[in-house]
Amino acid sequence: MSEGPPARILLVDDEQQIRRLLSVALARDGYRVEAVASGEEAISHLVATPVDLVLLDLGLPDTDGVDLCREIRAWTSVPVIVVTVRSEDRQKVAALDCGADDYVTKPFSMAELLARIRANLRRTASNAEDGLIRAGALEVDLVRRLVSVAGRHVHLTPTEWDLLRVLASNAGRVVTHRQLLREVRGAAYEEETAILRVHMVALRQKLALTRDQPGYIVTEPGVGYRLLSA
Amino acid sequence: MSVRSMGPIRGYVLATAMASATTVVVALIDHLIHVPNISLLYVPPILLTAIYFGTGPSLWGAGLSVVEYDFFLVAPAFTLTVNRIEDVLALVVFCSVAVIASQLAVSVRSRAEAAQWRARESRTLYELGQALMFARDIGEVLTRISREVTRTFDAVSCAIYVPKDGESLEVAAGSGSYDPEDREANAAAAYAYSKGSEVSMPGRRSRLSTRSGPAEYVPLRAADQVVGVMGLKLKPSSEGMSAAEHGLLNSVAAQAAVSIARAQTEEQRRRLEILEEEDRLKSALISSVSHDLRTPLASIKASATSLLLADKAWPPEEQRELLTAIDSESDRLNRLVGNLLDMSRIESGALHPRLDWYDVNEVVDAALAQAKPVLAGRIVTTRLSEGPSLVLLDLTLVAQAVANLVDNAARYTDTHVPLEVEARLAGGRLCLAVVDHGSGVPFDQRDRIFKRFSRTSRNGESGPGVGLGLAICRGIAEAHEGTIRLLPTPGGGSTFVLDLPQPSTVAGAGNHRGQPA
Repeated sequence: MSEGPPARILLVDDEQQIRRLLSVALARDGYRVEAVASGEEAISHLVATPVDLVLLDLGLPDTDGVDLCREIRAWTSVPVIVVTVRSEDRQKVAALDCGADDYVTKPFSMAELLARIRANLRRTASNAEDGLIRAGALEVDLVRRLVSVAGRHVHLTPTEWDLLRVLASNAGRVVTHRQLLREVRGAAYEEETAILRVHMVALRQKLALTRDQPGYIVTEPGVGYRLLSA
Repeated sequence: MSVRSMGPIRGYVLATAMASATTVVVALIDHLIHVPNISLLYVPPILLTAIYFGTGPSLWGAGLSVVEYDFFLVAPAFTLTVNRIEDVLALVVFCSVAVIASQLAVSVRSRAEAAQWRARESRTLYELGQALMFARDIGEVLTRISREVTRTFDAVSCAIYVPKDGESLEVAAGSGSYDPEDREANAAAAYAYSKGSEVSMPGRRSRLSTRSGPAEYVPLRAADQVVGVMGLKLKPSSEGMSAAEHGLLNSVAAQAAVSIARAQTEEQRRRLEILEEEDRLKSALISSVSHDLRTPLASIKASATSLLLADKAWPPEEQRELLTAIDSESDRLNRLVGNLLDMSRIESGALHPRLDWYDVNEVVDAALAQAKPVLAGRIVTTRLSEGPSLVLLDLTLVAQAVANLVDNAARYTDTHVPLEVEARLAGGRLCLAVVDHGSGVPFDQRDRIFKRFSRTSRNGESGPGVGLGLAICRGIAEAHEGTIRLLPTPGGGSTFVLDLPQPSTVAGAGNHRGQPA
């Protein structure tokens, strides 16, 4: 994060205490934080000053968080991380399907939040990179379509490769079932999660170092999958 | 065989035929040999007529016999002269036979009919009792009663009206082609209900050639109260109900009334129980909130205020310890709040699983990831099925249930005790087992362990947590139409088994999600 100007984060949360705490904590990590309390302020702020990432609490009193996501996504591709509490599971998935890029669940640890922010900022910068994605011993070469684990080459079927490609190009970020199926099998298959599970099991087994290790792909219950980033 | 069904004219015709046939027979015999009391041959047909067709036809037969005998057989033939004392005697005897026999037959028959009715009545009531024994709720009881009534009376329909919320009558159950919106029927039922008296409506021919049969509306009376009305529509061909049938209908109505009254009492009792249970839950909740939620809060407060003390600096190690305490205690608090929320969702029936296909391994992985904080330094072995095995469930819920079980096992056993998580998919069931080799659950606590706010005591000390974990597991299992069991682990310890039914076929193509996302 040291190179270039500090990334700007727009924090939308109606809790003053959270705004203050997060502003302090994120500033310490080198981000420039601007905090607003409502959806309305968020939109007017975004129009006036572009930011690098939006941290959006879904439980705003004045706006429906999902609508706000859709509104933001309608005119900017700025990464949006939604902040939810556990009981808002459905809303979380709806927000992700409406253009939010990732989520964290309240209460979260700062380490978790910072990892999410890093992963989502990296995506915007990753276009310039060499198409090589690393996660621990896993190496995915998006250009040459090569996969290796601890130097050992792994052979994947076309569907497995497509799944890994989508996850790898979103490394560290959650990808919903819907998004994965749309990317891999087309929009008509968005609901066919059974197929997704079968391929995912096979893919995970091929990538696993040992039998008992869950590997690099994490299941986000009820939401989708996430490839752990380095 | 009943007199009414044979029709009166038929009786007279047959009596005539029999008398005439006897005359022919008597004439033939008389022609061959002379028998002095040949007229006695007329007695059997008169008896038969009396038995089967009653007094009228048999008297007619008796008279006809005398006339025919006199006319055809007594000299001078073909004249009606009753001048012989024998003929007068014969007429008197024949008529007496006819009257006495027919009266006897009638009384025997009516006694037989009454006996038959009693048998039918008791059979109907017995069958009704049998049917009611297996009915689960009042709706089923009333449906069975109406079905039985329709069958017994060969009726078009039977509807049972019960006041809804103590207000207007509504069809609570029915059988046959009843129409709950039938205004005339509803008005008749309402009248019978308010007056507490039976309403009989005659059958009629309407303008549009559809005929409606007679209908009966019987108030259902339990103790001194009318609890409903039974409406019975007979076939258009029916002539109405006999007194015996009315009696049977009243017996059935009494049965229905008792059932309704009992169900209402039961309902009130259940409501009261729910209220009491809610009351208990509330007080348990208050005590748990005040105790269990404050414990982690106390740790957090103590740690934070220690760090805030300005008069001395903390060595880095101790500072870290205090911060770790804040972190882990806030996790604990979060878990407790989550449990309370889940429990209230289960209680209010708002727990609707969002079913989807998952791999068994994902379920276990997600559960272990959730339970990670309590598993530090512990050996957890997983035994999973090889290869992809898809299961239909709500991953969030089931993973949480398994995590609760793992969490529980970890809390109630010492750190060095290994745990096992096992998943088996066979015979249309998914069994997720969490096995520990600890000290096990005391026998007397096994039944109540799945109840809310029950905590097993270990060494006289109550365990950690609010005692909601297992109750939530059970709620989640039941939301999946499954069960949760506690078995002893061979060699000591507890094995909790989450048993979830699975569809026999895995979704290939097509939409098999429980609900749209």
